[in-house]
Amino acid sequence: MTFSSKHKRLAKSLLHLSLNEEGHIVESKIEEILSSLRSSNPTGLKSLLRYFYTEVRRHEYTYHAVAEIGCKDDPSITNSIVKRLESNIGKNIKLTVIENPQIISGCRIRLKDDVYEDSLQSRLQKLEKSFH
Amino acid sequence: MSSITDLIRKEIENLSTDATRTNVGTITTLADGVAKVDGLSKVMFNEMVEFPNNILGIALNLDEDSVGCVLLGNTSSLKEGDEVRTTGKLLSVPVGKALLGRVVDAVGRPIDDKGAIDSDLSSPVEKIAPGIIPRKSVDQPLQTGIMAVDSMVPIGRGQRELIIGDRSTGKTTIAIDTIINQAKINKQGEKSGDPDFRAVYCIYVAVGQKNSNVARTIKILEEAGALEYVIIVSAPAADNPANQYLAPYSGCAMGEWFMENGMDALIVYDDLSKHAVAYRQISLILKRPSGREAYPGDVFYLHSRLLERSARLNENSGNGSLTALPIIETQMGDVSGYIPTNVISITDGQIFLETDLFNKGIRPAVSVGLSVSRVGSAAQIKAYKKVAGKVKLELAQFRELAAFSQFESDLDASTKARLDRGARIVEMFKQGAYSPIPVEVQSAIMWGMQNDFFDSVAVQDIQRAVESLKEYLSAQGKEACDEIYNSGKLEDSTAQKLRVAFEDWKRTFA
Repeated sequence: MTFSSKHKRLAKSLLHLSLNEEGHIVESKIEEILSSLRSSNPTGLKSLLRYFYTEVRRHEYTYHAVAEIGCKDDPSITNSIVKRLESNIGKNIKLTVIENPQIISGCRIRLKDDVYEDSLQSRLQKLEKSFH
Repeated sequence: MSSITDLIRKEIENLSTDATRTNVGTITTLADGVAKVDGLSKVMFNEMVEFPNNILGIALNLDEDSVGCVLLGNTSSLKEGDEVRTTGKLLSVPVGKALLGRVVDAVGRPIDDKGAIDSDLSSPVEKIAPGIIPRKSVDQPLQTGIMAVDSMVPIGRGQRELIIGDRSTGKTTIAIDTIINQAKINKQGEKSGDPDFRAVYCIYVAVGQKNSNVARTIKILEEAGALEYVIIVSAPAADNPANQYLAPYSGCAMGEWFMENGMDALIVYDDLSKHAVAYRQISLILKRPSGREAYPGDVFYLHSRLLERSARLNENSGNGSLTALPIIETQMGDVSGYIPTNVISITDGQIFLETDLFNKGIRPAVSVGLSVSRVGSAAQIKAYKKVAGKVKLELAQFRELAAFSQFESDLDASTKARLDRGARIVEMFKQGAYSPIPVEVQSAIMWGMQNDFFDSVAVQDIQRAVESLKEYLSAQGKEACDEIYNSGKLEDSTAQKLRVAFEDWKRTFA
C-alpha cells in the first residue's frame, strides 16, 4: 500500500468522525481532530491534511447547496428552493444564497456536482450558441 | 433584413427554455494539455466535456476521486478552479459527402478557409468494428496504379495493407499515387455512365506531420484533380497530442460512413508511428503505467481497434467497404520494432520499402521478399492474374541469383536468361511519382514482358520502351486495352490483338 493511499483511507475515517447523526460536518469535531493531529504530529501530516480537506469539502457539497439569484434575497424563494431540493435528495440541506446580477433573472443552484439552472443569462448563452 | 429577423425569431421559437441540469467539476491541475478535474461524478468514458471559452476536452481517465481530461484546443486561457461541464455526448465528427474536397482538423472543423461544412450528419469517433456476420471476404481489387504493387502485392477493397519503411523511401508517395488513381478511375467510371460502377472515396489522415508537408500533399492532390474525392484530416506536429491521437479515429468515422452506406472508401493513416508517440505522451501525462519503450499497455489495442474498423461488408449489410493503408516509419530498416510488429500483425499484409533500393534509383523501392498481401490474387482482375502470376517469383529468383552471380564468372544459359528477365522486370517496375498507370495498360505491358517482347530491348532502354508503349497503347492499341477494361479478362482474341499491336509498336520503337 502506498503512503498516499494510507492517507486517503485515514482522511476518510477522520471525516466519519467529524459527522453528526444527520451526516453533516460538525465544526467543533473538526477542530478537535485538527488539534489532536497537531499534538501527535504524524509522518506526512501535510499530505494527510490535504486529503482531509478534500474529503471535507466534497462531503460538504453533498448537503450544502449554493444558489445564485438575480434579484434580492427573498425568504419565500429560499424556502421553496430548500423544500424542492430536500424532496429531491431526501435529506436536510443547507442553502447559501448569493446575489449575482449577471444572472439577470432566475437562479442557478449547485448541489454536489450538479448545477440546476433556469436563468435569463443561461437562455441568452444558449441562444448565442445556436447562432454559431 | 426581414430574413435575418425571421431567422432570429425562428431560433428563439425553437429554443428550449426548460431548466437544465448539468454535471460539473473544477479544474484542480492543468499541465501539458491534460486537466485533472474534481467532480464530474456522472461523466462517461470518452465523453466530451466543455471548458470555459468553448474549449472541448475528452474524459479519458475516470479515477476514484478525479477525472483526467485531454484538451482539444488552446489551453492558455484556462486556469485552476475553472468550471468544467459534461455535455452528455460522446465525441462526434461530421460525416457525409459534404466533407469531400475539404481539409478538417481532428474534430471535423474546417481549416481550409472554404466556409462551414454543410452536413447535418455526425458519427461518434469511437465505434465498435463490424463483427463477423456482416463481413465478406475481400474479392474486389483496389488499383493503386503502381505496377510493382498491383502485380506483386495486390490490394483488395476492405483490406488493411501496411506501407512500411524508413524515412524518405516513398511511403506517402505510394498512398498519394493510390488516391490519385482512385480519382482517375472515379472520373472515368462516372463518365462512362455505368450503373454498376462503384467510386472509391478517399480519406487522408495526416498525423504529426509538418504543416508544409500537408500543404504539399493538398497541392499535389489539387493539381491531379483528385481533391474532390478526398477528405483530408490534419493533426500536424504543432497540434496538441490529443488531436494527434484522435485524428485517425475521426478519419475512420468519416470513412465508415461511406462503408455503412454501401459505398467504397480508402483511408490512409500517415503515420501510425507518430500516432503511437502522441498516445504515449498522453498516457504518460495521465500517469498511466508504462511498459516497453514507455508505451502504455494498451498500445496494441490502440491500433487494432482502429484497423479492425476497415472491412468489406456483405450484400445484406450494404456491400460497402473501407480499405486502410496505414503507414509506419521504421528506424534503420528494423521491422522488428515494437510498433512495426504490432501493426504488421494486425494488417493483412505489408509493402516494405527498402532504403538501398530507393538510393539505387529503383522507385517505388518495393522489397519483393518482405512485401506480402494476404489477400493475394483474389484482389486482381482475371486478366492481370493471368499475366502477373509468375512475376513475384521471377523477381525473387532474380534477386537471389543476382547475389550469387557476383561470385561467378561463367553462368549457364538458364541462369543468364533469368537474370536478364529479372533485370528487365526491375526496370519495367520503375515508375515516376504521381503517375499511376491504368490496370488495362499495366496488364498489356506485363503481357508483353511475359511474351518476350522486351527481350530484344536493352536493359537501360526498358523504361523508355515502357513509356513509348504506354503512348502507343493509348492510341493505336486502345482496342485491346478497352477489351481488358470492359471485360476484366484476357481472352485469346484480345491476346491476338495485343500481339499485333506489340509487333507494330516494336517496329516503330526500333
